[in-house]
Amino acid sequence: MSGNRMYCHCSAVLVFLLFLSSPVAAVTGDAGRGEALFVGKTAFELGGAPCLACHDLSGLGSAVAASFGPDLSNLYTDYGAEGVAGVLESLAFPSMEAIYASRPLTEQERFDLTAFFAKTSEQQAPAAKPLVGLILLGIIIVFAIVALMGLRRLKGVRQPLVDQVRKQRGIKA
Amino acid sequence: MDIRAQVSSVFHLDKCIGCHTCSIACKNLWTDRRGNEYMWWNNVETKPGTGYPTKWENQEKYRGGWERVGTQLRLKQGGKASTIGKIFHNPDLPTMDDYYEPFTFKYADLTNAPAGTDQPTARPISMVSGKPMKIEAGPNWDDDLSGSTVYAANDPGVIELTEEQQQQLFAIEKMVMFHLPRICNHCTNAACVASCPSGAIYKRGEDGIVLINQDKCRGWRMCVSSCPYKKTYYGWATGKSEKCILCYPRQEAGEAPACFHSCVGRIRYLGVLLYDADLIETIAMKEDGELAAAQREMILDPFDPEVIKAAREGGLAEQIIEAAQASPAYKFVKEWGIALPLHPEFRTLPMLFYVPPLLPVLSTENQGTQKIADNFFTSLEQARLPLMYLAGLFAGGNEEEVKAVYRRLIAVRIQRRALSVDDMSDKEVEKAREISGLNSDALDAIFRMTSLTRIKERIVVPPMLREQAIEAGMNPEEYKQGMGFGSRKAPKRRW
Repeated sequence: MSGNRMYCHCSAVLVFLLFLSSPVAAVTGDAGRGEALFVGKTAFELGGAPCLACHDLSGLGSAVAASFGPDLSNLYTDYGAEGVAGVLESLAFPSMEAIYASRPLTEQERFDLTAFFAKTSEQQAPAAKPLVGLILLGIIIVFAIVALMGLRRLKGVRQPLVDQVRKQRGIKA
Repeated sequence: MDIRAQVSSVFHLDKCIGCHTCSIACKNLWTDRRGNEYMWWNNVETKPGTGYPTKWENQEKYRGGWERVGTQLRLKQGGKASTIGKIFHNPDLPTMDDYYEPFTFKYADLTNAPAGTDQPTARPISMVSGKPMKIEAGPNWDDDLSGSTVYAANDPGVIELTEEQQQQLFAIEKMVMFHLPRICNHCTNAACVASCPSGAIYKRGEDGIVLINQDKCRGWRMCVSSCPYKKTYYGWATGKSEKCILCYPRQEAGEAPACFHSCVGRIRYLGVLLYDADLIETIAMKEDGELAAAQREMILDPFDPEVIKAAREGGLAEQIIEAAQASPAYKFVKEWGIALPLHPEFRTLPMLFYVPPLLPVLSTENQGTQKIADNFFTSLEQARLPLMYLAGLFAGGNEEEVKAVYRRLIAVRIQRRALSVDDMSDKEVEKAREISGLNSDALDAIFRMTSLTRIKERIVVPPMLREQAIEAGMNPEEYKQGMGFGSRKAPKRRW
């Protein structure tokens, strides 16, 4: 009985685990290749544009931050593996459809990209410095340069002269 | 040879009594406007003193004029790239306090104040903010106070002197001072012209008067900092810079400039000088002490047939050559050699010359008769004003230049004294002439020009030949129709 129960328990867990891991197991994608596809280092087989051309993903740096499409940092967290796979399969957004309808992603590419999204959602890179901060920093630097140049400025001749003589002779203004 | 004409002036400092009539005449005529209150195109300073603006002669602070860099002349405030680099924040401008905060008095209070137990007073108020203020400086602050411990003692020229010379200068009962009237020098190598980023400043071809085109000026104020004499001013109401125009509208009508015309002491002489513009660059590169002499070299003899020929070829009108021959400035500067430029070491080649003051020599130590020729010439070193001080003002530190002028001025006095008092031996007079290097006629001419001449001889305004000048640029008929009142326009940009 005990053994039977044990068996049942084990198999239930196994089924549950299988259920849990089945999509993960199905995705045999390579996150590294996924990144290469995302940034465009490796071209999509059927000629689709790399994701980066329109989308941003935190962790890739401000220099490659396109903002035509939404930020994809939280894609995996929001949609899950199946959602991502589904989206990548059809890409049925009006602006994307025109590009990808005739140049769909191959199955392997979809797996790779999903793996990449999964990986980045785990890593969840620290939020990129907001642009406002960068601008502020720039302004501070400019002001600092101007202030440095201003140190050489002629700051008055007469008053310092009078002050100096008064000081020498111990006269109060 | 590239001969040009320059309306040039000579100020005879021995004759200046420091009455400021010139300053007031100029102020009433040209700078009696809002935003120009602090400007004195003509001002009179007491020397020793720091002048207006305070310590203007100290170019380590104000960075005006030219300096030699290798074999080139460069503006002390920096070259073109540097000018553009600091175009929005010129760091070398004098502050308002260095000029002075213009003030007036609340005169209305004298009549409108409510009845009370005290006399009503007119409080000083600032002409900038309109608020009551404490007057601490003015354009002629410490006027006539040669012993002032603040301003006289800090005269950049006095600081150069030895401790002993300074004490001698400020010793009680020996204290000495003179007045130094200043206007724009209308330099041949003007730093203001070179510094203007808008190209608004120019030197008129026909008479060498330096002007700021009010239509072109954008108020960058580079001229204010680059002029070593601090004779361009920024008008804060118009947002443009202004400077002495040598009363060219008056001159074009045949009148003397207002400050010349009103001069009570008749110290001001005006006339055309012919000079060789090809020499400007080489002369401006000379050593400090050589500059005054080199500048004399640049000025040409208007009686020399070759000069006349070259001038005609260069397009100078006959009337201008005649005016140059009648010019008292030529006599003072070149023929008699008794007028020197102010601070030639700024290298702008100023065209306003000064006869240095030959101050009364003290004779308290010797009550009896003096052998004046012998004593004066040997005692120049003990003159009341150290020669070094005057050499610093008028000759880039070269005492020989000032000595040469003094010898001539003393010779004039000795010759006149022999004639009118008749208490000197012919031998002594002859010796004086010999030392001065001028003959009896020249000494007499100096005396005459200094004391007897009338205004038309002292101030020889050349025919300005506006017709020719207009013809050179545009059709005179068109000018007459279109330029009636000049091209007066409101500036597009106002502050």
